[in-house]
Amino acid sequence: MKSLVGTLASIVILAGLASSGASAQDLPAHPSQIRFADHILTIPDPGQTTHTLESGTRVVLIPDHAVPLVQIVVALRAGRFLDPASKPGLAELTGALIRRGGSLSRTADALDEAIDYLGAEINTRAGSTRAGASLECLSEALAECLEILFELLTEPGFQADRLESARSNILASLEARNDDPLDVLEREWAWLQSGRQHYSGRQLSRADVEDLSRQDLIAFHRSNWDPRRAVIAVSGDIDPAAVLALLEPLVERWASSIPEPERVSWPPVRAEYEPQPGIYVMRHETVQAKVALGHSVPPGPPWESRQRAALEIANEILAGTTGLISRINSRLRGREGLVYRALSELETDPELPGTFRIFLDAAPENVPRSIDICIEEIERIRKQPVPVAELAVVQEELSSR
Amino acid sequence: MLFLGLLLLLASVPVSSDEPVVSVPIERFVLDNGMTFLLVDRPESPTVAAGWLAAVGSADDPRDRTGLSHMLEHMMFKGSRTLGDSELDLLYASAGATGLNAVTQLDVTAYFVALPPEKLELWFWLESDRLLDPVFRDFEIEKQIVLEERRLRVEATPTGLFEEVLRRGLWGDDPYGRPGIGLPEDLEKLELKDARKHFETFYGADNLTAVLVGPMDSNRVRLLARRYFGRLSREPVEPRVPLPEPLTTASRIEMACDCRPQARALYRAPSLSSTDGPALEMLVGLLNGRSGRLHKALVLEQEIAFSAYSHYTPLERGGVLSLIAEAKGESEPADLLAALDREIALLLSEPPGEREVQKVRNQLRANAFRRLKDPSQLMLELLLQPGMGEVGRLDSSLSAMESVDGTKLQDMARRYFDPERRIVGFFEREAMGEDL
Repeated sequence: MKSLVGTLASIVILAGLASSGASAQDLPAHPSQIRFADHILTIPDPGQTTHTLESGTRVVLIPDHAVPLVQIVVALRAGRFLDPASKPGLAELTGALIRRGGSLSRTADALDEAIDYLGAEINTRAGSTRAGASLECLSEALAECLEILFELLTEPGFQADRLESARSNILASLEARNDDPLDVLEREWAWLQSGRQHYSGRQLSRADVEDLSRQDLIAFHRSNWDPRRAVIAVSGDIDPAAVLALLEPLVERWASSIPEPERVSWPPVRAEYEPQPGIYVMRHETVQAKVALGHSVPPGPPWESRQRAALEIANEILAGTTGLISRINSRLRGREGLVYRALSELETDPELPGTFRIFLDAAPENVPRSIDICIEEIERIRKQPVPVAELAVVQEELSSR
Repeated sequence: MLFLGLLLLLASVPVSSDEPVVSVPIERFVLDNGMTFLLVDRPESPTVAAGWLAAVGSADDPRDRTGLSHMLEHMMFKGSRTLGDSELDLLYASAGATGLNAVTQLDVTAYFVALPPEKLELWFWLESDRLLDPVFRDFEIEKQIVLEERRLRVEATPTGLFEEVLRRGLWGDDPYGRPGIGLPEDLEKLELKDARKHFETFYGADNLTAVLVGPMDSNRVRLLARRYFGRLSREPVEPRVPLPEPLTTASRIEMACDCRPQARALYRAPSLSSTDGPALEMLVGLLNGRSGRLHKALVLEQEIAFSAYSHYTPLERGGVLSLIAEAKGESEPADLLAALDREIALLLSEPPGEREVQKVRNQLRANAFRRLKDPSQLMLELLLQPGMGEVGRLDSSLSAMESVDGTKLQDMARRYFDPERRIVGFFEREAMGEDL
C-alpha cells in the first residue's frame, strides 16, 4: 500500500474583516415576511445508481467526493429468525465472529493489525432479521480493504480462542443485563409483544451460550451468509465503474464458495403469543421510571403507500423528532414540566409485525399523569382531524430530512 | 440538551506536492462588534449546518449556582420579545430544518441546526433575535425539566453519581470538578435573575463565534451577518481563572453500584492549546482499538476484561486522561488496575517500534477525515474547539504527529500516566441481578 503519510487535508484560512455599514431598519419584523426561494428536492435515480453483479447481487453506488473516504454496507437476509430452536444465539455469535475470528489464510491478530494499519473500520454482525458487514476506509486503500472484507465474508476462520473470548463476553453481558432499567424495559417489552420463545425477544441462558460450537458457526455461515441474498451499498470518494470491477471477482468467489445455496423461507414465522393488554410494572431501585406505552402492529402498508405516509405523519405529530412542538411533548414538557423527553416510535414493515409506542422517562410520582396525557393525545388523533396548519409543518419537516 | 463529549482537535496538515489533496478552505471574518464567523462552502450538501457558540460553560457557573450555564441554554429556547415560547421550534420545523439542539460543555455553550440552503436567512433572523431580546418564560417549569434531565443523565444511570465523585476527586475545588448539569440543591435555588445576569455577562457579540457549513454564497452570508448579528453589542468578558492547582497525590475511591466491576484511573492532562496534544492523542491511539495494546492484553490475552481503553479529553484550562477496564469472569478491579499499570510500565521499558507508531498515525489520519465528512459534524468540530480561528491551532495536529516517535510516546506516558498523581475509582457490583 502507498504510504499514508503525505496525503493530507489542507485547511486554509482566508481571513478578513467584513466591512461595516449595516442598516437594521429594513429587516423583516417577523420571519413570516422573509421571502425564500423554492425548495428543490432531488432524489437520486435508482436506475442510474443500481447495478446487478453476475451472482445476482445488487450493488448501489453513490459517489460523494467531499472527503477521501469510502463507506460500504453489505446487507443480507439472515439473523436470529434463522436460529435453530435448539441453538438460540447462533446467528448473532456467527455474525460477530466473522470479523473477529480471522480467516482461513490469516490469523485474527494479523487481520486486526492489517485493518488498523490501513486506518480502516470493518465490522460484521447479525440482528433480528438482517445481517451484514460494514467497511469504512480511505479511498486510496479501497482495493486492499475490499480484499480483507471479502476474505472474511468468504472464508472466515472462526479461530477457537476468539470464539471463547466472544463467548465469555456474552456471559459477562448476561450478568449485567439488569443493571440499567432501560435494558430491563426493552427486554420486557419484547416479551410482552411476542412471548419469550419467539426469535424477536428470546433471551439467551448461560447454557445456550456454552452449547454453541465452532462447527455450528461454520455451518451457519455456509448456509446463510450467501451473496445471492445480499445488497451492497457503496458511497463516498469512488469511481463507480472501478468499484464494480473490484467487486465482481470478489463477490463471484464468495458465491462460488456456496455451491448449493439454501432457500430461506420469508417472512419468518409469526409468534404464537397473543399480547395481553394491561399495565405491567417491573420494580427497579431508581429515581426515574422508564415507561413504554403502545402495542404491536400487524405487517404494515407498502413503503410507497399513502397509508404509510399518513401513519408516519401521525407518529410525528404525537411525539416525533420535531421535539417540543409535538402534541405530547408540548403538554408533558412544555406546559407541565413532567418529562425531559418523550418519544413516539413507529416501526412497521410490509412483511413483518411491528410496534407503535410512546417512550418517556419521568419521576415515579409523575408517571400516572404522564400516561393519562399520552392516552388523551392518542385518542384525540384517532378521533379528530388534524388541523391543516399543523399537518403542513410536519409534512415540510419530514420531507426535508 | 447537555452533552459533555470529547473535544477533538481538528486535524489538518501541510501538503506534499505529489500526493492527492483534499482541501477544506475556511473563510473567516469578524464583525465590527467582535463576533467571529467561519464559513465552509460544501456545494454538494443538501443542507446548511449552522451553529453559534458563546464562550461560556459550566466551569463559569458561580460556586453556589452549579448548572446555571446549562439552565440558561434551556431558557434560550423560550422565545423573545417578538416570538412566543416554542415558536422558534415551530418556525424551524415549518422551514424543514432538522437537528435543532444545543449543548453546554465545561468551557462553551453551542446552539445549532441544519436547514435547507434557501432558508438560511431564517437562521440569521431567529438566532440574532434570541440573542438580542430573549424572554425567559416559564423558568420554574424549566427547572423541573432540567431536574428530570439530571435524573436521566446522572442519577438513573448505573454509574452517573460515581462519575461526579471521581471528577470532583480529580479537580478538587476547581470549577472543572463541579457537575455541569448542576447539583439538585443548586438547581432548586436558581432564579430568573441569575440566568439574566449570566446572559448579560457572557453573551456579548465579542464572546460569540458562528460556523456555517454547506452550499452558500459568501458575499450574501457576510451581508446577512452584518445586518442581523451586527445589531448585537459588545460585552467584554473578564479573563478566566488561571490553571487549576496541580494534583499532588494519588487516591482511591471505592463504590458499589449496579454495574460491571471496573477500574478507572483519571489523570490531569494538558489543555487544548498544549503542544503535547497531538502526541497524547497518539498515545491513546496506541492503547486503543482492536489491535491496540489494552484490548490485546486485557481482553484477548489475559481474558480478565470485557473492555479496556484510554481517553484523552482536552479542555481549555487543562485536560483529562483516563485508563478504564471493565471486568469479566472472576477478575476484581484491583486486578484490572494492575494489568493497566503493567501495560504502561511495558511501554516505558521499551519504546514502540516505528511500524506500530505509523499504524497509529494512519488511524488518526483516517479519523480526521471521518470528522470532516458530515457537514453537521464538521460544523460542531469547528464550533466546539475554542480558538479554532487561529491558523496555528488548525495546522497543528496531524503534521505534529509526523514527528512523534516511539521515544516521544514514552515521554508522554512517563509524564502524564503518573501513578503518584491520579484518582482511581474501583466500582464493585452491589448485588448480582436476579436471574430473569
